[in-house]
Amino acid sequence: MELLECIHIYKDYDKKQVLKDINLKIPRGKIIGLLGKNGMGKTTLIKLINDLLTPTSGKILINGESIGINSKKIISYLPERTYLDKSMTIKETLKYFEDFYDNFDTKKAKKLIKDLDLEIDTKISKMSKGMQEKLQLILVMSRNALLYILDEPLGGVDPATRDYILDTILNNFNEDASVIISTHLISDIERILDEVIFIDKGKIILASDADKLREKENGSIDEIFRRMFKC
Amino acid sequence: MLGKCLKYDLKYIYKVLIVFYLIDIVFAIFTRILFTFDNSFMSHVLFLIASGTTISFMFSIIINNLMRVWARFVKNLYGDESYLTHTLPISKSIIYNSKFLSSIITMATSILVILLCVVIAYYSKENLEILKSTLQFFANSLNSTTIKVILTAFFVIFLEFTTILQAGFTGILLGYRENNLKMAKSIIYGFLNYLFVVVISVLIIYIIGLFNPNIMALFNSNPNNTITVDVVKTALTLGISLYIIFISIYYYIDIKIFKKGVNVL
Amino acid sequence: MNFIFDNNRPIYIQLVEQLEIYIISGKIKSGEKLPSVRDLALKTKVNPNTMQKALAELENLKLIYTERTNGKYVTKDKKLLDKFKDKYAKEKTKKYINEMKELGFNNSEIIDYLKIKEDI
Repeated sequence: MELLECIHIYKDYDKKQVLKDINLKIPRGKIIGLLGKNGMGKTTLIKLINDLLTPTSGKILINGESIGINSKKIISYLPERTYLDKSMTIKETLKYFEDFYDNFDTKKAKKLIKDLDLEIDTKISKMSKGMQEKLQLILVMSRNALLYILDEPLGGVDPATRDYILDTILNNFNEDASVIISTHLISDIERILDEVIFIDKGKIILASDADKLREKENGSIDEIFRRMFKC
Repeated sequence: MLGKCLKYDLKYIYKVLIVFYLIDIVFAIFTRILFTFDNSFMSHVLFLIASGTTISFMFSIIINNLMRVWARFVKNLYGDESYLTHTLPISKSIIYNSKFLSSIITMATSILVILLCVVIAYYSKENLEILKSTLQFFANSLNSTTIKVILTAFFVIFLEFTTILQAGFTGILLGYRENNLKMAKSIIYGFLNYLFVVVISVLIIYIIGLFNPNIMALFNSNPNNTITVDVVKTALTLGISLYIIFISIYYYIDIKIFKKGVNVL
Repeated sequence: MNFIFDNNRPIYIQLVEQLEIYIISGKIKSGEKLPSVRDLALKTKVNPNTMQKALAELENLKLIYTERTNGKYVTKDKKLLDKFKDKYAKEKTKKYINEMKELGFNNSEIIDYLKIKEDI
C-alpha cells in the first residue's frame, strides 16, 4: 500500500481549473521534491492532502484511507505561513502540540529550541518572522510522523538559514517516513531529493528518480527544469 | 479531545473578557459604596459616574463576548491558525462543538457576571420593593417571586445573545464558502440570519395569535387593550422554546456545512 | 571529510568517487569502521537513501564490507586497495599526458617536466 495516493484529482476555483487530473503515488522512506513555478498548483495540491481544501473531484488516500483523523495523525505539515497562535508562548505552544499529537516528541523539540538560543517563555508575537518559521519547522519535525509535507520551506531565507533548515529536515525525519518538499528553488534542495515531481499549470509533467533523471538528461535537476519550462 | 479543544477556545475568549468582568465588578462595588455614602452633592455625582460606568461595562461585556467568540471562530477556522486547526487529528464535529460550547459557556458567565454586578451595585430592600411593585402584576400571576421573574428575564437575554452568536457562526460558515469578500459576506449573512430569526419568531407568534386572541393583544398597540397575565406567560414560554429551536436549527446547519470541509485560502 | 557536489551528475556516483578516494588515500584507514549511513548522510548533507546507494556500490566493489550486526568496515585487502590506487594513478597520468600533448609537448619533454617537479 502506498503511503499517499492521489487519484484523478481536479480542483476548480471560481470556474478556473487549478489542478487537472493529478495522479500520484508516494512510497515510504523517500524525500520527494514537488517542483514547479509559483502559482502552478503545488500549494493547492498540498492543501488538498491536508484537508484545507476540498477537491472538486477525485480521491486522496493516505495509507489506504481517505483523509480524516487517521491521516492527520501521520502527516506533519509545514505550511507557507505561520499558523501559531501568536498570543501564546513557546511553552504553551509545545503543550498545545503535546495535547493534540500523540507522536509529538517534546524532548526533541525542547532540545532543538535550545539550540536556537530561544527562551521557552518567549511569546510568539515577540519573535521575528524568521524565528517563528524556524520554531514552526522544529514543531513539525519533532513529530514522529510517517509523512512530512513541507511547503516552500526555503522561501526567501538566507544561505545560513537554508543550511539550518536542510539540516533540521535531514536530522529529524525517521527512516520509514517520507518527506515531500515543495519548492521553486530547486538548486538549493536537489541534492537531498530521491525523487522529483514537476508540476506545471496544474498538471504533473514528470515524476522520476532524481539521479536517473540527471543521468538521462545529463544535467542538474534545476537545469532540466529550466530547459523544460524556459524560465 | 473535546475537553482539550474547549480549554484553548475558552482560554482565548476569557483572556480579555475576564478583565472586563473584573472592571465591571470593581465599578459595581464602587457604585455600592458610593450609594451608601451620605447624600452630599459630590458623592451623588460620583455615584452616578460609577453607576454609569458599571452599566456601560455590562454592554461592553456582551459586545466583547460576541466579538471574541466570532474572532476566535474566524481566526481559528479560516485565518492563518486554521492551517493548524484543520490538520489536528480530531474530528470536525469536535472542532465545531468546542466552538459552540465555548460560545454558550462564555455567554452564560457573562450574563451571570452582569447579574452579579446588578446585585452588587443595586440590590437593596428599597430597590427590590420598587421592582416588586412594578413586576407585582406579572410576578404574582406567574405564581413566582420577583427574583424568579428577574432570573427568567436574564435567561431570555442569555438565549437572545446565544442565538445572535449562532446566527453569526452560520453567517461566517456561509460567507467563507464564497470565493471573495468572505468577511463582508459573512457579516451580511449573519445579519440576515438574525433577521430571519426575528421575522420568523414574530410570524409564528402572529400565527398563534390568530388562534389565540390573548396573544394577538401583543400586536395591538391600542392602550385600552391590556396585556394579560396569560399572554406574558405564553409569550415567555413561546420565546424560550423558539430560541432553543433556532439555536438547534443553526447548530444542525453549521455542523452540516462544516463537515463538508473548508476551503482555506 | 569534506564533500563537494556537482548537481549536474548523479549524486550517488559522486559520493562513490569521493569515498573511493578517501579510502585508497588512507584518509579512512583500512579496517576502520564507517559511521552509520545516517551519520554519513548528515555529514555530507545528502539524503540517507543516496548514501545507502553509494555504500552499496562500494560494497559491490569490495572496498567496504558489512559485519553482520556491527556495521560497515573498510576492506583490509591491501591488494584490492593497491589495484584501485593503480587504476586511479593510471587515469590521472593518462589525463595529464593527454593534456600536455594537446599543448604540443612530446613524450621526452613531458618526462623532463616531470623531473623538475620540485622546482615548480
